[in-house]
Amino acid sequence: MDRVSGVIPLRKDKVAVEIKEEDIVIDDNIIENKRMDRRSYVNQLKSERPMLSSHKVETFRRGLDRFKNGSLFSHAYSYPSGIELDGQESKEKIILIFRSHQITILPKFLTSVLLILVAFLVYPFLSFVNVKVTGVIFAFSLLCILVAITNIIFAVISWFYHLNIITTERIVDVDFLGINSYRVSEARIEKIEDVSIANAGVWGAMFNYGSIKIQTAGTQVFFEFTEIRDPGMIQDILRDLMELKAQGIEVD
Amino acid sequence: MDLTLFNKIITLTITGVLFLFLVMWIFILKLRIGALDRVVKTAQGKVFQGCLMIWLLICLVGGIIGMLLSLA
Repeated sequence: MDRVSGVIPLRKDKVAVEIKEEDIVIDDNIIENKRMDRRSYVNQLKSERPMLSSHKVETFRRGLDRFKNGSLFSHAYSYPSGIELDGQESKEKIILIFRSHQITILPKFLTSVLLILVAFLVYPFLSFVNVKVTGVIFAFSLLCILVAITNIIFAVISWFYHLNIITTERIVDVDFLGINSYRVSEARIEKIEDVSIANAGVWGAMFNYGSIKIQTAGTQVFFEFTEIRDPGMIQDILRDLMELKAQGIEVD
Repeated sequence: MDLTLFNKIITLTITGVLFLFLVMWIFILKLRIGALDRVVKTAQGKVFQGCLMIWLLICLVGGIIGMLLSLA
């Protein structure tokens, strides 16, 4: 069998597509039916396959480009700088990070604002009901304010570190659990079998967020990324990446 | 038994425990960021930890002031 290998540069600095003959399924019956020699058939496949691949790579690129102007504090950010995964391989690159919609920390923020309001409104209320303001009241007001601010800090940091990462090789899910524990789950792109999205009710419809469920072939059946903004776009990116990987195309 | 003194001790204990709980919460959060930052290294990790340490000190001072106020 003749070895066919070609390198098709799509965007010189970013993407290269390598076509190998072992990836091409050659059916001898087709060659016989088309009355063409093997070499011509392989050349025909070579010319068809890059067209398909380059279209897919371009679609994948366009999906990622929507998030390229993000920052580490955005809900999604493609090709992020200043972030590195533990155990990241040399050829592996982070192509997208995404996290929950910012609106999901609003309840905690509102609770904290309410607590601060209580701390300040307690004095007019006590004077209204003719109760003497003592040092204890001052101490508990101070405690309320400090707890409220700490709650806001906690909410922002939890949101910041609740990261979902797509690299060229795998998907990674970092979750905060309980007081002092976290979970880092990962799955190879090749192991992903299905990506589905679900809307998150009325608020999800209003603010365009929902959950992404990823079914893998391994022991961990599901990955669930919850309250993700633009879940459809993330789903498209993941599907394109899966197809490119299945075709043996490396994206960097 | 001096009831006023007893009340003050109870108040001081309650406020002290609550402020200690707050400080512990911030300290645990700082530890957790440190652990997470080893898994996913971000440029902001150290800044977050530094800011949390400053906030921890502010809460410690606030706690001492609060305890003194509760005695007043």
